[in-house]
Amino acid sequence: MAVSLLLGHLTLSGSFSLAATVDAKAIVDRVDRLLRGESSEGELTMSVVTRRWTRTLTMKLWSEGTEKALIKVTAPPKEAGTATLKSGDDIWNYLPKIDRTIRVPTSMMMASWMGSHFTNDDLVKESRLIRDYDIEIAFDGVRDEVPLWQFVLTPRREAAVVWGKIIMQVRQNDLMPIWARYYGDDGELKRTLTFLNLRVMGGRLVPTTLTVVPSDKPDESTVIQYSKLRFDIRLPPDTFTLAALKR
Amino acid sequence: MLILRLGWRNLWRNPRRSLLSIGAVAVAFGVLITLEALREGLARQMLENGTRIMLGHIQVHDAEYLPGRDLYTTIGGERGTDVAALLGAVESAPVVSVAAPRVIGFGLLSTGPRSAGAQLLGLDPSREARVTSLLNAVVAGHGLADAPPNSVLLGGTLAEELEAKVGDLVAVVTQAADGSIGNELLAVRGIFRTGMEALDRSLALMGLGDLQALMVLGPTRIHEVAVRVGDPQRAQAAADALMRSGILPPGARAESWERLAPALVDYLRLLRGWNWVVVFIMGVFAAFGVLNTMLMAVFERTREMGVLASLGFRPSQILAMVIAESLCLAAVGLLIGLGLGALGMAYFTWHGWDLTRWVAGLTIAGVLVDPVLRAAFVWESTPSIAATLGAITVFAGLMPALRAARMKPVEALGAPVD
Amino acid sequence: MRILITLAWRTLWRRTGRTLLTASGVALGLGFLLVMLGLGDGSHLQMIDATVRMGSGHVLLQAPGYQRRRGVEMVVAESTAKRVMTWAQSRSGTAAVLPRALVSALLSSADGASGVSLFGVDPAAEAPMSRFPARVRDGRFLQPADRNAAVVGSGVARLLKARVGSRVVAMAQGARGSEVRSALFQVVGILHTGLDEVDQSLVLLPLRAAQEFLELQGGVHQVALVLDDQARSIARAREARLAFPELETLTWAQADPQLESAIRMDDGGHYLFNGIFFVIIGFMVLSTLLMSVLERRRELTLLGALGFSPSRRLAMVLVEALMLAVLAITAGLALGLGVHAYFRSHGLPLAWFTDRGMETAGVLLDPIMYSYLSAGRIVGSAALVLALTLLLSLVAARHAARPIDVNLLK
Repeated sequence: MAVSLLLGHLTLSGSFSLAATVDAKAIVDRVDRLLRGESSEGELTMSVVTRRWTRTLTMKLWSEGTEKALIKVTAPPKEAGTATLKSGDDIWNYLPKIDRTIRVPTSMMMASWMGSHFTNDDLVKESRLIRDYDIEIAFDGVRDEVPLWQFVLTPRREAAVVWGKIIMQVRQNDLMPIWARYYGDDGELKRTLTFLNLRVMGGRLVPTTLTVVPSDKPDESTVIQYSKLRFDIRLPPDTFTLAALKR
Repeated sequence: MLILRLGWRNLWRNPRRSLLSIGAVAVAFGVLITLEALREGLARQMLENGTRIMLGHIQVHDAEYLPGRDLYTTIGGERGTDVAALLGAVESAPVVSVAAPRVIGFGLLSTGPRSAGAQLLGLDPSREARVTSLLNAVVAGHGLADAPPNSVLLGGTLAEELEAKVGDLVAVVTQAADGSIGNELLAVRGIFRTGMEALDRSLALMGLGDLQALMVLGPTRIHEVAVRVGDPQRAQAAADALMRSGILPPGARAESWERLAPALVDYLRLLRGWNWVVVFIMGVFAAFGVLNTMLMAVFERTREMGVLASLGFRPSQILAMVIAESLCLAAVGLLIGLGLGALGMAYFTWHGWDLTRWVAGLTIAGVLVDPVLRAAFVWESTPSIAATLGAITVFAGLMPALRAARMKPVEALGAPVD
Repeated sequence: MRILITLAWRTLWRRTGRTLLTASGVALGLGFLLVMLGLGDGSHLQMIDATVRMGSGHVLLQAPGYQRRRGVEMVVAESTAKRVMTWAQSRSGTAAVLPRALVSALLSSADGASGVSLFGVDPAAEAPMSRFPARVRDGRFLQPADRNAAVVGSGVARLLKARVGSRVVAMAQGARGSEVRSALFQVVGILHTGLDEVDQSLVLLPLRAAQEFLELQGGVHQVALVLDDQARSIARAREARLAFPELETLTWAQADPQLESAIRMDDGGHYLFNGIFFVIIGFMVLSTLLMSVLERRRELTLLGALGFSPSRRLAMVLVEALMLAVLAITAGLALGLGVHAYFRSHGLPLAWFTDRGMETAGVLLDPIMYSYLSAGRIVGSAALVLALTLLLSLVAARHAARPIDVNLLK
């Protein structure tokens, strides 16, 4: 944390030519972990709009580091109790109606998570950007009176990610992300992540609204809205267990 | 008709020789008829197997449904259609016997330790049983008829993979039409084996209503109607008629097995193509037998023909006489051959030919082959085969006939008599 | 004796037309038989060859129980695999030794995902043997220097909207532990065989990459042996079982019983066809010979009157038949072998019968059928026709040996 703040100061002074790539990496990593911290607890709503239906779910979320997360649906009543546990590369879903816990097999990794525009794989791979990508600064300047950077993330040689590149726009003043665009290796834009509604929650400035829009279906979207967030709290040791799914 | 009677009598002047040639023609014809029956039997069995196990003779879908099989693309669009009325209307069309509605989905099946992806098929048990043999392939437990709600039949290999037995509970998870996660506990009511690995490995059968509920599809929404017709050969015509009739909801399309299983169509065409090659070859050999006889006949009667010529018979008449003999030979041969062929056909139709030793589990063009080959009692090709054989036979007789007609009377008279 | 032969020969050529007719009938029969046998055997060998190269090899060695269950953890350890390969290479008649790793996996791109069958193969060993390099439609086949290259089926490419150069990520269960493994690959080639089951699910990777991906620690799932002569499969399999009792060894027929069924059924059909054939030929030969004897009653009676004993008359007819047979068989061989030679080098295009590919027993039939005749088949066919002809001529010749009827001399 301290390191990234320090780097943030360096950036503000404008002299990043020396350690530009290190800067970029730290900033991107910070963006990636913005909503996680060392651990977190929060509440959110997820609204999914597709051509055929619209759904809104209210959920509670706990996370630890980048490898453990537990998400429970609290509303609507029909879906309340449904829960997802992520631990490392594995995902389990608990379905209250049939009282069963099912591990998501490899064959379903690219299937949508809870009907949203995120896949199970997205859940697994989040917060690993600096591990999987090389980062360069493509633009450093002012747009619409806002000083910002544009980072280009290209996958590392052996990184098992499908994106050809990711372009991220980050504000220089507060290191807040503006948007992230995901491209296939054919150079086509595949989806856009937008960060909105900056608020202070749990002692940090964070974007509280995330939207995902797929490029092939621009009238569809998934919007995540955080209503509550706490960071770096101590969570009970059995929070991320299969038993916890059912509670 | 004097020529014809002369020809006939000439034929019998040397009964033994004539009978030999007649025999050649008869055997060739008989064999060809039997082979044709066997080939047609095989073709019908392949067609039956190809359509009976799961395809049906005709399928009705929304025009956009194949090949993606999107769960929303139901017959009649998003509103669906009055299923009972549609089924009734389809069944009232001529040629159509039975129509069975289907809902199709894809889901994850999970027992405690194992999980596997499967294709979910929602069926109407009584109708489905009359269109396909899926529900008759149960090897353990019971079928879907009169089953309690949320029962499922698993393919044999799928059950093995899931380590599921009859009576176990299996969780099913699927994307529902309202975006939620459809999930349910299904009781394994039975296990089936079609013999086709692709189906046994990936198919789970359940009640139509159950699957609609799981996928949050209303009762008006189905993906497919499988149809059985009386005569599979007329299936495409029936499908076209259905399309023209206006019975089908807007956007729906009817297609026969000929469009849905092109590999099978190719194979059947191959079988048919081969048959004419065989006819031709057999014909050539029968012709050889006849040629021998006719050559000899002409040779023997050279002197006699010389006499006839000097008596005023024109060459064309002599030619006609020899051809008449060929014709009679052909006719008798074909007649006897017909009898032989009928016997052969009857035997193989009734008794069949047990090829189990060679053929168990074999697929051709994606279709399971029956271990017992049964001939079909068919006469359609018989006239054309007869005509071909007859033509070849008469043609064979032509050469010696021409020779006979062109001989000079003086030479002929000098020929030795046997 | 010499008189007999001379007489027989001259008799044959007195009735040139008749002789040639009968001879050509038999010749055609033999020729046709040879062509049918050649195409039949040829297509079977092609089918076996196709399966062998596409999958099992002539002899397949794997962990016990692998045929049934195909668990990714059922690994043939590196040391064992090395021993197997060394052993196999030291035996004569080995054309290739192909180690393989297999797993069912999910392959995904930015545009889609699909369940696939991953095959880790050794490019150096596999490329000269396999039929796949010839079927690469875009790009190229795997090369020894490749690290994370992948060759995918056209159906897979379509679903993933992948082209040559595309990134794809494979996800599968590893061999050690239950965690999901993922790895990046780059498409270097797209394959099109025309067989849906292959095009829609096959992905080929370099063996080393697959081993790393699946944590096989240098082990493999299968070692496939391709032999020079398919007929040695059973013997070689037996040797392998003795040498490596801890492994499961299968011949191609055991690894792919469907294919074996298809071949046997085809064979059965051929026997039937050839059987009928022989009946027809036999009939024809018999009728010709009988007629020949019958029409020469006068002449034979004359010979009898001149002092030819019945047995001599019989012998003469037999010698005649023999000569005719030899003539016919020579012609038949020439005809049959000639056509066979053409089909052996140029092949018979299946396109004459169908314009799409044809599949049977999960093997795509080659669009061109090549003929194959072993010496055994050739000699056997000729011998069979000879035997048939002689047998029938014996029947006909009986007539020649009948006591003379003086009335015929008039």
